[in-house]
Amino acid sequence: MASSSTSVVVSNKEKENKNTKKVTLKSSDGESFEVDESVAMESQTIKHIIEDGHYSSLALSLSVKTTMASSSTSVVVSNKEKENKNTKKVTLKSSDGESFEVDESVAMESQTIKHIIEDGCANNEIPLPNVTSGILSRVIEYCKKHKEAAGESEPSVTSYTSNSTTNPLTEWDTEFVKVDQNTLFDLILAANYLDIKGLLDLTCKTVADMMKGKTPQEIRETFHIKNDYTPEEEAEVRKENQWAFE
Amino acid sequence: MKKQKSIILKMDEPLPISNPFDLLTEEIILAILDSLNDDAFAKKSFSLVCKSFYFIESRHRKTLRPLSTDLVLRTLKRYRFVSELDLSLCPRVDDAALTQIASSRSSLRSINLSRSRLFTHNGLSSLVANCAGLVEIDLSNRAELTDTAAAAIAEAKNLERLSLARCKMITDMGIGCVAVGCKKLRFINLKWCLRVSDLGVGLIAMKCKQIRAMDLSYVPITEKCLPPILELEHLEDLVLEGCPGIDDAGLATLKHSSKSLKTLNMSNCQNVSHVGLSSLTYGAEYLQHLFLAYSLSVTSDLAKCLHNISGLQSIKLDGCSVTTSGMKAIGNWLASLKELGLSKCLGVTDECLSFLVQTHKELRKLDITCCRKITYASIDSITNSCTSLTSLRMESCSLVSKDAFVLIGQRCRFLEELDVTDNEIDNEGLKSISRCSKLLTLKLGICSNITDDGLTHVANGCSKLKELDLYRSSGITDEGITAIAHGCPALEMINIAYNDKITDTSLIFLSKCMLLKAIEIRGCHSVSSVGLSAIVMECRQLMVLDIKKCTNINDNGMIPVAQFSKNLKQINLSYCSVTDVGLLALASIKRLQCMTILHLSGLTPNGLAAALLACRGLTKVKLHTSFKPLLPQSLFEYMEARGCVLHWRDKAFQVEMDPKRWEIALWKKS
Repeated sequence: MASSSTSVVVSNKEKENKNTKKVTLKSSDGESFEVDESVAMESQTIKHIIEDGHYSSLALSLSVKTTMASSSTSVVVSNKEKENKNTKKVTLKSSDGESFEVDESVAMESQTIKHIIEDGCANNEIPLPNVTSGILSRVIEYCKKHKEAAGESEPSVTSYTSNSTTNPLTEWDTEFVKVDQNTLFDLILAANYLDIKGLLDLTCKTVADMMKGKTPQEIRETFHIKNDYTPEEEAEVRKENQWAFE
Repeated sequence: MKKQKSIILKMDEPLPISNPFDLLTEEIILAILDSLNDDAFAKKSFSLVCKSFYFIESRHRKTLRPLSTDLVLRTLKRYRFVSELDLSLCPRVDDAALTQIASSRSSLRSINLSRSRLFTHNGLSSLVANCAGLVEIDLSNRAELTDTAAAAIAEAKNLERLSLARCKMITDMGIGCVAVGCKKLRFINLKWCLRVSDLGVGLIAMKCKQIRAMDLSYVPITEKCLPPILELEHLEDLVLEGCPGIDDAGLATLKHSSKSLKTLNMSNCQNVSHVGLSSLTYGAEYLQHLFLAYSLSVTSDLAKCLHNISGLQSIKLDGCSVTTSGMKAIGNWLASLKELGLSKCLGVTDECLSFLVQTHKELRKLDITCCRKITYASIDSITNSCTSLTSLRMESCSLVSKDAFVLIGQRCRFLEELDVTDNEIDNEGLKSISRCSKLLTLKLGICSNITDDGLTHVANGCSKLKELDLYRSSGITDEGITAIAHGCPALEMINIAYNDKITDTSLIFLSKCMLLKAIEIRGCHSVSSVGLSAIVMECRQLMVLDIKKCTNINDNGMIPVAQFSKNLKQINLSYCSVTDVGLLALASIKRLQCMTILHLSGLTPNGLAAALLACRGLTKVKLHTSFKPLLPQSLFEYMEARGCVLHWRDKAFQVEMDPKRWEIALWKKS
């Protein structure tokens, strides 16, 4: 059981952090475990061996039996899962100079940031000149919540063939977009710039819902849009909308 | 004329944004419009807001459903990216029109000509010649098309989806041309093509290797065309509904079955039993959906041949006779069903139903309409095991006692659809059901034990309700309807037919439900033009209006309908106190397609003729035979040429409100 859970967790980590260095730990009875170097270095013993360079690229022989090694590995890895102090962090800097330190995995919800990190241009601090601190803090909140939810394996009861789900995340999302109009549009722009598909879809749908059931004049009033139709032009379009097609 | 305001800004206050959309790219606005794709009204409102929105919307629209052939070209000029054209509302499309459309939109991918007449194979040829990217053509119901038309279609080399349902003149020759020409065909519908046989269908199967779905309902094929069909690598969906030539003996000759089949429909196949079915399903490890309505008997033999199909999700056995051993064998299946149809099945008892639901705990949809032997015990078992139910249909389960309905509300919280028409449910049951906050459709027709109290609970608990049916539920009054109007703003369809206690007050309050699309208030004696005016003024999305036998509604009610209900498609005015004037007023509703006008109090032949001529969008009219000899023959010919069908009815004027003695039946029941 312990060894199976180890392998599952490690492969998740592989997806998140590409190009991380790996080491192979070999127990006394011959079984090998490949883990991230950072994970293995939880053990001070292993850490020293690695730092002293006293190992071949492939194996560290340990005088520990399979079960012991695998169980301690799984404990180590699950600690990592809980995103303690040892997870990699990045700093995001807003346009007005405020810095936000977040877990790398959370920041990588943004495809834009993900590419910056992968291209190696991170240098610990990533400047975001198009996003103010107020908006950035909200975006980070969204990414954190959605990252967390993805990690949990709680099944939600989904409706067969229907669109509704009892996903608690939907309710959190609904509350999240209950903001003033300026903030909502700023969130759209930020989600677009940072390339966060979920947030962009959510905010766009919110604006769309604000238009449903409204007459053109009501839409104009909601969004302070100027009517640049002449009365004749407007009547023409209205007629065409009514009579030409469904 | 905007007033110029001078605004004194403080240093660190944000500028008021004039139009937040100015900051968004067109790409983002198009994404916002994507979310409005299901809401035609919203998109039209959007286009009227300002000119830039007009242009963005005109670049967004991909699908167009024109209301008249004359305006198609002009509308296509406005919408230059439309690639799907649905002409089902344009009855007159001749070759010239089709050619013009094709040459002005060569990027067309999909066209629906299922209700259009007058075009011939010539028009189809130029369509196919101009639109090389054509992927989908719907020619259903075009009974006048011959093999020449099929040959013209065969030139559409990229065709993937083709419907020739009810094209009764097309033979194997035409289908053969299609088979040879349209190599990329994925979906073909040949329902009711009575002149097509094994030869044509076999050719399709042999030449069109990409086929995913075939509908061969009622086609006179035999088992001879099945081997090449079953060998199709990608076949997922096969419909053999009502095929008279398919029987057990023939099916027994099949050597292989389809490995890829996911959906099989053998409804109405009277000559097929479990023996034949097992030949088709043997080895069909991916089978998910099985439709066997009104066909074989559900015995343990049948259940055994389906036992090993672990992916089976839904099975419809409506109208089949069922044995206890058969039901129990289904209860032993490997698969965990999500959907089960047992509507009108003889032989369903508490014992076997309870056993079955205990294994199939993941059921989402269950239909036990007219299972008249089941009692409280079945509902107890169902609600205990299948807590994820989203749809339960149990019309006329007459032995189920009222306590059972309390269980439904307590245990099945995810219900979205509930049909308890003609049952013993009372207010306690309704109170419990009101806890199902996700309920979208609730049918409470002919439930004589419910009153406003119960309905008020529903109004408070089920705020997402879209459809409410209270047909002949005589315990409901204005009070209950008012509560619903307040509590269910998303209501789209309501039926409160044959209830004398419903007055104008109900309609006035229902006008709050601005999304209402269908209103049925047949036989509501106490409703007048006042109530009708109030509701049509607010509910602009109204499409279906049934006010039959509302004798207090007169011409005064028709004028507001004409003025406000611009989206009305269907109206039933029989027995109303409407005269020529009122009927003619309705002519201004361009969308009006379907009208039932029997026994209008003030209709004259002249008025009728004028109305028929003036309502240009009509496709179907039900009227009384007494008018037939009083109108000129040329009028009928003109109507037919325009695409409108006249249905003549000979019903005698019914003086009583309740000719079928419903009231007495219900009184006897309680």
